[in-house]
Amino acid sequence: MTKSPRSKARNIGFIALVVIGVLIYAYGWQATDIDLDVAQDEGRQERVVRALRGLLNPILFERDTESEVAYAYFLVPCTDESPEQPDVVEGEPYVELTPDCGEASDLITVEVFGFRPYSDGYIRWTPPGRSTQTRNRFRTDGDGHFRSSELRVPTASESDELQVIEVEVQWPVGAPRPSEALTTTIERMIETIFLALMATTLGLVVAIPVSFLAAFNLMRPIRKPLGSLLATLLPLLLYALLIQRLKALGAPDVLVDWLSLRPLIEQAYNFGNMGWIGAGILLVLAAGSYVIIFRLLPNPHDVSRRGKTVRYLRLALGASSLLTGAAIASGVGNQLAIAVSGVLGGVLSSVVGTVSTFVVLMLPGVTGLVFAVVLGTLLSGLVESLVGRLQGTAARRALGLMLGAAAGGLLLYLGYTAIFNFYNPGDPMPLLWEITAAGGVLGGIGGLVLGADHSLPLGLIIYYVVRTILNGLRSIEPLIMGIVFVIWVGIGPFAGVLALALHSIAALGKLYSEQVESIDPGPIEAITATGATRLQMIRYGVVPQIVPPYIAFTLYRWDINVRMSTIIGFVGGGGIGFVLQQWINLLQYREAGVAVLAIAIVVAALDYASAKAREKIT
Amino acid sequence: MLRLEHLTKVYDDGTRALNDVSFEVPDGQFLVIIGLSGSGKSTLLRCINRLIEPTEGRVIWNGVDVTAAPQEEMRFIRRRMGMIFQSFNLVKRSKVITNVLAGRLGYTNPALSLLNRFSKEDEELAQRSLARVGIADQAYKRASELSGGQQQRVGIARALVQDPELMLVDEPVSALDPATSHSIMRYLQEVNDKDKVTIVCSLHFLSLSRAYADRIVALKDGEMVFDGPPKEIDEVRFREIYGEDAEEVEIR
Repeated sequence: MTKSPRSKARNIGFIALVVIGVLIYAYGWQATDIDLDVAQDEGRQERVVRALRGLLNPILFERDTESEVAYAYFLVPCTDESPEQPDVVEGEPYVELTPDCGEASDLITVEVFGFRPYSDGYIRWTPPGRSTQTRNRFRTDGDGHFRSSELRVPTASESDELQVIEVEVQWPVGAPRPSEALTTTIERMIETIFLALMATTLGLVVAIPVSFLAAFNLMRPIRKPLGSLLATLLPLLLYALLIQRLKALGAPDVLVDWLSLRPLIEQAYNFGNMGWIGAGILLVLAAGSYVIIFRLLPNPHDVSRRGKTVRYLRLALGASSLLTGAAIASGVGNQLAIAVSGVLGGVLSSVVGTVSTFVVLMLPGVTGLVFAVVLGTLLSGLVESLVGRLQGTAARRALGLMLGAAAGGLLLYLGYTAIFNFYNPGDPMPLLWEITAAGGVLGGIGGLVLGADHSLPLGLIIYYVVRTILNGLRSIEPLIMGIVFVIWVGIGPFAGVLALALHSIAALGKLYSEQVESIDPGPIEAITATGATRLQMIRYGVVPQIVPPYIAFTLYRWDINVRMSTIIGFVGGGGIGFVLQQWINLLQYREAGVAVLAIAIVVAALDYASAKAREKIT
Repeated sequence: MLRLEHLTKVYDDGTRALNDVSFEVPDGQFLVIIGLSGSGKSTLLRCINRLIEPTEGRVIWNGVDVTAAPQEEMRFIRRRMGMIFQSFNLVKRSKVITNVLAGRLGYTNPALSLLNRFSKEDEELAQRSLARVGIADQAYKRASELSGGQQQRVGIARALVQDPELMLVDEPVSALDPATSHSIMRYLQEVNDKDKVTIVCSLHFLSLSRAYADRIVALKDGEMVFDGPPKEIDEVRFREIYGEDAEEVEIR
């Protein structure tokens, strides 16, 4: 039988594949330093067995010990006289050395009598003026007797004075109690579990909104005309430019502060800090805004000029009263924190206090942002109606050119200064105006080509940006994030929480958004058709569908975070990993064994529990 | 009055689902759109409330150009257009009453409704609508626990609480058995008669169309091939619409 040429070609291909395979593995063997000789080295094997013996024999419980001690004396080197040994007392243990003098490194015989039978003991040698060394370990026989001819005289022990040989036999007494390693491990394990819980919670709080931005089916329909998008963006950019220029020109801080309304916010915060009065002001503000927004200015539900104005007023009023309310509320929260400082060991107080401080710190920035957005909404409405009235493409292109040039120039100016100052703080900036001009030209061309009425797939742009950030974040290991956070907030569980939370945002954001993408699109369609806003559509059409998978993924993530938090301590992130690493470095393998055992138990238990819970939900 | 002017829809993949369709629907009419699967019935209905953006042409409703309305205005237009779907499009895990209340979203404050708060009037309206379609006792069950016919009645109740002037009905009975189909169609007829709601309804079966329609529009490959009263559809017309091999099936 003859073979077809095709099969010959295949054979050659197969051989080539085998050769390539061999080459790859040969290189891999070399690159990873695989060395069987090292693995067979006896000293190393002995060391690893010792480490394993410790790790597999965790010191979970300890007992108190009692001991008997006896002494003998020795001379190095020999003199005319023998050293005087302690008296042998009837019923007490004693030690005999033969000979009772010699040179360093000699082997001598030691024999002990009258100790507790079947007990462990050791022999310690104290050369005069030097530190004690443990020389031999032994176990007594049924008569409390032991004999060894292998006691070596320590080197560099020559002296006129007596060498002290101490023999001690120890045995455990009383009930076993948890070892110190066990109590430490339990404490740290609780810290670890809560570390994982906090990280998961922080992660999910951010990941839920992010997951909607990263869901293709929700984002694809979002389009906005180029003109009104740029008009929304411009106030934000101008505001950022104003702050940036003022700071660069060394304007007084007061001016910058007023631009973010900081003094007003502080005043509101001080109102809140008046305790009950602050709470009263908050109530009045809430009631007042409710009456004005919902009773005096009800939404006219039409698209007349008046209707639009009323809706805009409602938006502006709502935003202002929410921001003022937040400032007052954080003042009230601050007072509340002081009031409850005695409750629950101060935990409640510290939580309320932290949240209040966080809110009041964020408020100036948020205020600027909110007002820029409110202004942007007004401008974009104006631009939209202007575009509607513009006749012919030429006018629309001209508007696109203007808005595009302004936005492009501002974007590149701000982006370039921010990046340049990050890498070279304080240096003079080269090419600043050229780059700004280039941005203006590019933006202008874009606006001119597309026209102000071009419908931009805004949703898809956001989708791709968010997806890219999530993918990037997810590919950085939490251990590496942990290193950065330890630099920022210091060694401890807080750094671990931040590192795991950041990674959880990326991981959960992806998992969640995939769930959103796989929901039944019918309800989305139906609820959009009722005239619901996009947020309402998400609340009533999307959220009910994704609750079970979101819970399942959150449990799964908590499970992973517990696993990761056991090692985040290796880089200083707190939790059990921190003590585990210390014990390993100090060669305390039995203690390390306790930690390893605890990790195994907790991870296995959570793995099982979360699998069970997920089974129930889905 | 609803007027479609030269409505054309070309999908991204090049499919021409609608080709230059124009007709008027006077207020209070029960209009049925017939045609084979893929003839453009669903696309036509969705172009009216812009769940699908038409490529060309205009939809004029009560003198307003729906196709040119900005997003904000679209909200006010859509809430007066109820819509009923072939696969009901209920949120299956939510309660029946929540599904019905979703019909009020166009009227409620966006911020408050996010907390699942509806006014007493809205709740009562939802209950009344459920009673109208005969499933008041099912209000607090999960939508998924209901039968197909009951689910479609929830769909009708959801459209009713919108206080609609126009109902877009997309093959309401093709997932249901014949007996249930008639009961659903009778509810639609009642809404048309009593509430004077204009109805634009797509249907597969000619026999059902004959029983309920004031007027029939037939689509074939995205083009309008017939517009007239049901009785004008004879054997020849029928074959024009449904193809040479088709045979009329009676739904009792």
